[in-house]
Amino acid sequence: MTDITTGAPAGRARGGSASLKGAGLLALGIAAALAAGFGLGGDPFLLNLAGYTCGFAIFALSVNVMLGGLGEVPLGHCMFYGIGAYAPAMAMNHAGLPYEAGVAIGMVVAALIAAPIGWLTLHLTGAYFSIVSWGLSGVAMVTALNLDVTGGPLGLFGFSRLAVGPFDLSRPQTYFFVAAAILLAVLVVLYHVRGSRFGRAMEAIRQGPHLARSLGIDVFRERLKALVLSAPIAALAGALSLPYTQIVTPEVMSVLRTVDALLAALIGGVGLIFGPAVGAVIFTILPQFLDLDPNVKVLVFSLLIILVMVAAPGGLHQLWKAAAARLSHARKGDAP
Amino acid sequence: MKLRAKAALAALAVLVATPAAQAADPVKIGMVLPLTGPTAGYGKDGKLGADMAAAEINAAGGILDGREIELVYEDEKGAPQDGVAAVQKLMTRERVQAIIAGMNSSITLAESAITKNRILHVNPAAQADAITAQGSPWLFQINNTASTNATIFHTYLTEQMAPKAIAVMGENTEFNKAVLENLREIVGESSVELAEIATYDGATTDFTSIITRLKSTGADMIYVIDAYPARTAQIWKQIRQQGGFPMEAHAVGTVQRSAIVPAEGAMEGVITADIFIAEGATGDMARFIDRFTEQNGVAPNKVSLVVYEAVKVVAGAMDKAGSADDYALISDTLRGNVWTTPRGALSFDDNGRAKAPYFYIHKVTGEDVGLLDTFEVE
Amino acid sequence: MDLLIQTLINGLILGAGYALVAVGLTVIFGTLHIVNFAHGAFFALGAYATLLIERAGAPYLLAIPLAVLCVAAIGFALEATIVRRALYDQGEHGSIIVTFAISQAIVAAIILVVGPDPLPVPSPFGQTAVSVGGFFLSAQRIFIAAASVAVLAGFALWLRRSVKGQQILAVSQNARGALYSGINVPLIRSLSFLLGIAAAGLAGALMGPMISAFPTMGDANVIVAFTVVILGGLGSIGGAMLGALVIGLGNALFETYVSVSWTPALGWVLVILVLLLRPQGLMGRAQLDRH
Repeated sequence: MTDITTGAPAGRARGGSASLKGAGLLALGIAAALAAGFGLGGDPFLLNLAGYTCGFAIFALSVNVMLGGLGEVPLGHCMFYGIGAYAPAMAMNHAGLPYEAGVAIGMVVAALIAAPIGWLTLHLTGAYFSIVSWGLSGVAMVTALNLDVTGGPLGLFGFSRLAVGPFDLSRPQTYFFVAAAILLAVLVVLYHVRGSRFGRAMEAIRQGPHLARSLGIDVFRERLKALVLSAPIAALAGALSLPYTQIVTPEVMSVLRTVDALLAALIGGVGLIFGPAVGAVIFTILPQFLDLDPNVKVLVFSLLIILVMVAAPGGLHQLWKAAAARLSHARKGDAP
Repeated sequence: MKLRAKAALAALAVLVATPAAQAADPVKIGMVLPLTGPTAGYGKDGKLGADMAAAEINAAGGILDGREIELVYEDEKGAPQDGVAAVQKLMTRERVQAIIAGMNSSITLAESAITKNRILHVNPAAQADAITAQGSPWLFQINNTASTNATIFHTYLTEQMAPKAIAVMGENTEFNKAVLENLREIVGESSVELAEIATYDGATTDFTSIITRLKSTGADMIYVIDAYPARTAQIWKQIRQQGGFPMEAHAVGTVQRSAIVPAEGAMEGVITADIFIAEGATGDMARFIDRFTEQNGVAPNKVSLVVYEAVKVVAGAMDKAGSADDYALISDTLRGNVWTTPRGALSFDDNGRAKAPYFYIHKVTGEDVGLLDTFEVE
Repeated sequence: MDLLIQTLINGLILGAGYALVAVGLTVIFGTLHIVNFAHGAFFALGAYATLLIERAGAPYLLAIPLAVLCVAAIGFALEATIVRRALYDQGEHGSIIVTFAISQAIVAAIILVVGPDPLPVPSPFGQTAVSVGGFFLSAQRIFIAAASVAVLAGFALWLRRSVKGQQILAVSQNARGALYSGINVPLIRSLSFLLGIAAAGLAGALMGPMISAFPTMGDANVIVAFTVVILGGLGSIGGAMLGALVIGLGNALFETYVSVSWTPALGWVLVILVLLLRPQGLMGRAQLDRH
């Protein structure tokens, strides 16, 4: 909870130190992406998966705007992810528009839909909000299943050209680099949001809505802003899944997608700005190397998640911090 | 020093190049099946068939001058995303030489977008016509298409059983859509009336009201289109509880013991059809059923059979073509030959669709289906 | 007219089943503020336990209570090892993730131990349907409805009249206040969790003969149960019964007279409409920290 979260705004006020730390982290991120991109050069599967993971990390970040930012569990966030995946698919297959235009349309539509949905549901909190949000994604899924423009149960596939400008996303390495660049850009945006007035208002609301209100913060409006900010990010993530999945079906709006993102955010640490991204990597790449019977794998993975949640409810980084604290403690003890 | 290195390299080269080493190098085939999730039962049945086929091929000395078949399984979890992930992993990480994938039609379509023009893909069971209508040169299908199966079955329903009006209920899936389209066509040409079509969502928990609605139309035949065993059993129980219909039918290729047993007798007498039947089997089929039952302690079902055939056909075509990775050649070989399977002679058309030699009309009897009628497929 | 009566009968009986699945969810939420996503898995365990006990030779009516005990025992083990440590007072985030993981683990374990194929759960009521004046009533459904009403009424009475029941209500209204007035809050929480899980197991045991036992049998039923408890008001047993009735009748009428394929959306639309007017659900207590 300390590191970047509370450190950033405070440091910003003091001057350069926090943004320096931020720049350092960004450089680290770029270096990691380059290393991964070229290091995995010979393995198109891992590169594709890494590209998809970047998209999934963006979704986890979007979910974390609600989870870490407001303290709400947006189970229905998969609806915005789905809108983001359907928009370019429909733009390409029905209107002959390029992929990029479809992505932009998806993000705008997601933001436009988020406003009335937020207006309807953000008066609710806690389990009520979570479950109603889940329900709305269920309605969206039934809609996608019953309409013709969405391709009904079959979904949409056979896309013309998945590319961003000159970058052809059907090439695994390009896909990964584009997705990683977008992920870093989203991280930068969220970092700035967190340091802004709006970010501080969100933090105040999360810690205590009543106190925030008494400080003159319009709690409902700030919550609405958070949802309208996170929806297009989720849509972007959905659009980035297309080069990997090659098809959009109503199943894209399954609540399981949100649950995965929630797991990624919680395992990586909701208080850390890059926590969800780290969690997403752990969550998608790790199971690929567990060579077990599929059902045993589910069993082992579920038990691991439970173990982490029992041992470190704040995310894995809590374990690191505890270990580091113990280590420095031990050192101090030895010193004299 | 240089010389020694060269010698070592040469020794290594000899070691690598020995025919024995090459012969031991297995041909890897990627198997994508639902091993977890709601359709895990199909994955279990398919795996039994595939393992048996591989064991038989290897016991007979393998293919391509003694190379063994190695099956690599991945789980598609009953979801398109996971099907795609499984196929990509098998192709690029496991470097398999062919993909056998296809139970659910939507998932198979997603998978075929990845395999198109890149690797040999054999779809054992998924039926939707859209799969093989894409014009993928290296995509083949063992099961009949939904429209081939449906045309025979729907003609049988309208002409032989000749109801006045049919009421239809089915899950909202691609398979259902294909079957319904065909039904509308066939019924349109007959004097039979389509009383009502109810398409329900996969999350539906109860069917009583749907059945009440369908009964109220006065239709004398109910026709259920659903491929999930548990739901199939539940629907027929509820149909029975509301007094049933004079004539009752269930979609082609979806009725197995896994649905009939939990239905606890509620499916007795329901008419369905498939490309496989255990009753009255003779020759190769009887031997296949005996071997399978002996090895696994259970009788094979259609899923086990088509996956078994898929492995056999892939291995046979590779062997005959003399290559495990020249897909154009293997595909030509597949189309240009007739393949002997437990069902009889199987051949593939230009779209990669198999023509099953026989088609059987079934009637649910006891805990399995009984044979009602046999058609030869033109 | 006949169609309307049959549809209303369908809806009422359906609602009784929904109430049975929903009551466990609402008890656990009311007292522990845990959103229990593993409810469906315990529902499935209830059906499998019934089936296995019947195979061991016990008749169905005896197998039901034994199965409920089995599920409660598994719930007790999980409560003592995981839930107590990870979830109490940890907010809703943790509970969603942990209960979801528990549910996945249980489903995988069922596939590994029993297998993925659906299995029949034999019941003496079997497929018999009672025909009254031309209207069909399934015997198993009448049994479920009767059991549901009896169990729910008994439970509500117990909560009002017994000391333990009063304590559960006290903890669900104000845990800290209950602690200060000398109530053993940890014990009451464990008890509530067990009651909720046992209710899920009972629902599975009763509904198993209708829907067969299969690993993911709880999924769809729990989604409906969630709409039911949200509609009625989380934590309120009366609310769960009313919500179940509304959704059962609503679904039946909508399916018969409007559209089958849009029915799954109906429950949610009802929920959203009700919450717009009454944010705490039909019978829930108003939350203090609303915005």
